[in-house]
Amino acid sequence: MDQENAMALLSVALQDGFIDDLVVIQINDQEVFRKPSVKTRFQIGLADSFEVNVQEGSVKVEVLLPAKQLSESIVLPVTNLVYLGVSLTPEGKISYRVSHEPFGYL
Amino acid sequence: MNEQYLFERVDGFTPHADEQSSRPLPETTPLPRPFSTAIPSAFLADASGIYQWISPKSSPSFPPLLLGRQELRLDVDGYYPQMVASGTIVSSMSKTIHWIANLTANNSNSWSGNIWYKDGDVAIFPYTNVEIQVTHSWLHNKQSATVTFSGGGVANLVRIFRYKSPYFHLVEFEFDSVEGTTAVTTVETHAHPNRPASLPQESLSIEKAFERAGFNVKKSGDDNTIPITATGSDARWSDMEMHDAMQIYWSRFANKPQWSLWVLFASLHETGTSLGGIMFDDIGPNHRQGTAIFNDSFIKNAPPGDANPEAWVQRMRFWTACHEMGHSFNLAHSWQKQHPPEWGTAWIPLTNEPKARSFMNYPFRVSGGQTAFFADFEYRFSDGELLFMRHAPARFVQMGNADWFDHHGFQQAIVSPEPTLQLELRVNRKTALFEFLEPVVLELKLTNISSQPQLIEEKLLAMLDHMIVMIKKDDKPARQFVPYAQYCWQHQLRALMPGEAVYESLFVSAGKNGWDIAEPGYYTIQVALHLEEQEQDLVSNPLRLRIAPPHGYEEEFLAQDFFSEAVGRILTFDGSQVLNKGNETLHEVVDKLSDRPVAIHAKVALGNSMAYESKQLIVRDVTPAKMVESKLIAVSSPDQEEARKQLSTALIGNQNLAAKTLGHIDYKYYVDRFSDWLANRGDTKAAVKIQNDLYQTLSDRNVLDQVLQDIKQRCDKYEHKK
Repeated sequence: MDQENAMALLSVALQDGFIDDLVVIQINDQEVFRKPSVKTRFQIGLADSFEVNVQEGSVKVEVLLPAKQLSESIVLPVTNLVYLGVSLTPEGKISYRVSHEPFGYL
Repeated sequence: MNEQYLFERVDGFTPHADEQSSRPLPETTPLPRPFSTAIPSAFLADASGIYQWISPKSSPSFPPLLLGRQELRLDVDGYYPQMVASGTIVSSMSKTIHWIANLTANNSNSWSGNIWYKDGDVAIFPYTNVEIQVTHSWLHNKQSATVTFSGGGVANLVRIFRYKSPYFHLVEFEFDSVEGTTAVTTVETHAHPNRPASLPQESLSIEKAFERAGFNVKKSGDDNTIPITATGSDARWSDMEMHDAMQIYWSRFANKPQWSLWVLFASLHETGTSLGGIMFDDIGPNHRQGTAIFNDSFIKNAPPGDANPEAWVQRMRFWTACHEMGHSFNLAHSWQKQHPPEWGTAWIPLTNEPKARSFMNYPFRVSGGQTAFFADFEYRFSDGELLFMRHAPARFVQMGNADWFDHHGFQQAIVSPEPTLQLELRVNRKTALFEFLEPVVLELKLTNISSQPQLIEEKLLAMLDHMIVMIKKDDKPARQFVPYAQYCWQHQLRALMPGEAVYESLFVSAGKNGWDIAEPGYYTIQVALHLEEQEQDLVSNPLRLRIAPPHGYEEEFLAQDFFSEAVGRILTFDGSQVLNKGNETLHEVVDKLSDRPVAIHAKVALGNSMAYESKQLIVRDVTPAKMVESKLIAVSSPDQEEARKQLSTALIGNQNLAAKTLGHIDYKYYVDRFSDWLANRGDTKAAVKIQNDLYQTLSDRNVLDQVLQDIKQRCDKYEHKK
């Protein structure tokens, strides 16, 4: 396969701190996820998750919570398969965790 | 003077009314001690455990509210001592008080400290300090604890409690497993080489791990095997399937709070391998009764190159079981303890424990990952978690009681150990029973209970932004009352003399949350008032009230329109000239329920809206370009005849009922306003008459002389005008 067209999988998990939030996620400035009423199940620390195909290389992920006027972006080097965890901190900020292993929930 | 009571004979242990466990707490062997030596502990008579006191049926010299049954949980030795004592008092008048104190040792058998936490009917328990003296005995049932409560401006109270058990609560577990899955309920602590050097070698069971947390663990019957067909065709479990299975296969299932927990061992959740386990029971009215462990999820994958993969997996499954069961005791994850209120209510201010080597932390989240975690892990809960499990009010911890992540009311209040002010929430009626549809008006009373004058904000009780009002309907989560409006008052201090009190009314039926008090049933309401200068919170007594069922179909039918935002706003703001639909409903109430308390509220609102000129903002053209220029303020004329009719029948027709349903403060306010209105229109005779009626009504209802004097002065003012 042509290196320029190599695809990778980005797995995004909305984890802690979401309380009936409208969450919008853009990847490379294109909206790939929009969902109202996202709510964390605190006993497992997970609200929602999805997977999206992206081109290998640098990927810009932007998370927006319009009602809370919050947005944060991160540029990830994505090859093959990358797991991105997005949380809202108690201080009301968006935080990220990146892993090459699947997240586990308990 | 100290009052001392000693009761040698104590009947069998009766669980708390709010614990609802039907089984007696048996005499048990003592709590095993950490890293025990060869010395048998049975006769060392350790101090920790639960003690009980039961009052005589009556005692003329004893405050009746503090007669009843008391428990003391003393936590000063044994496994992971927290140096804490806590107590629960169930009074003969069914009032419950819960207190917690931190202790320091005075000597090997005596401890003392401040009471830093109170819950329940705290007004009848003013004490701020506790001293505990344990008298050991070779026979456990002869061991006793002499407890001296002091402080709070009252005489010391001394009680002698009898030792009952080395554990703080009774709990029972049932481990069911799905056909083909093995329940992992024990671990060999030395099976894996990565462990603390000092960790004792033992075969540790789940029961033993929870015994060390302070629980007398029993099994609720046989552990069952559940047929694989219960999962449906995919052999994976959804939350709903587990909830159904819990109801079918758990021998103790009941829709009520009980110290009992169902644990299911299964292969996989429908989510897939990423979910190792879940406390799935956050459905319905009784949360936290069921939890599940998925043996074939990611927890079966030992890290590549691990020294003993089999032992690693066994340990991880055991850890997961204890972790999920911890959620059933209402424990959050270690990194979720400190959070904004919208996530849930913490029982006391908590701090996150991201490094904790606890059952409630994820091993792979700590610095150094799971290797670092298990290198220091002692198969235990953190001190903060043990404090909660052992000493928090039982309803927060007990399965099926408080909702998951909801620990109720005012546990974050910073309460002074030596309070100078007392906040009381009450109603102006003999029993707190309200008719269906009757708006609920309460009264706040703030009293200086110190011997010195206290400076307070003049409008402190009207400052709703300084106040948290929690409303909890039985069997529903607590809700915070959010008023439609908050007022910004000029900063003005006043001195409140010793014994003096200030009062304010509080309308709590409806606010921005909608109608918080509407359906028939029992409600508990509690207010916390923040004193900014003192950085303290004053917490009121919890007021329990009841809304009666509707009288008939007509009321139920009318309720559909009455419990609307429009009516809520009209009643809050004493009328409206624009909320027409709400006004129509209130007219209907006046027509159809004219002899009922709700009609008095309706007439006051309708009468007030028609008594005065009213300004309204009119927007003639709502298109954005023309909106600004098309706005105007219109003034509508009063309808004096109709206003007089509505206000007269509301306030004069049945004064006693009006004073009862509007509350003394609001009743006087409305009558004053109405009599001023009459006097300003030249009818001073009518103004004087209704003030005289007001005097008689409030005098009969035993209001303060100061209020009656104020009424006389107003009458004199009208007479002088004549």
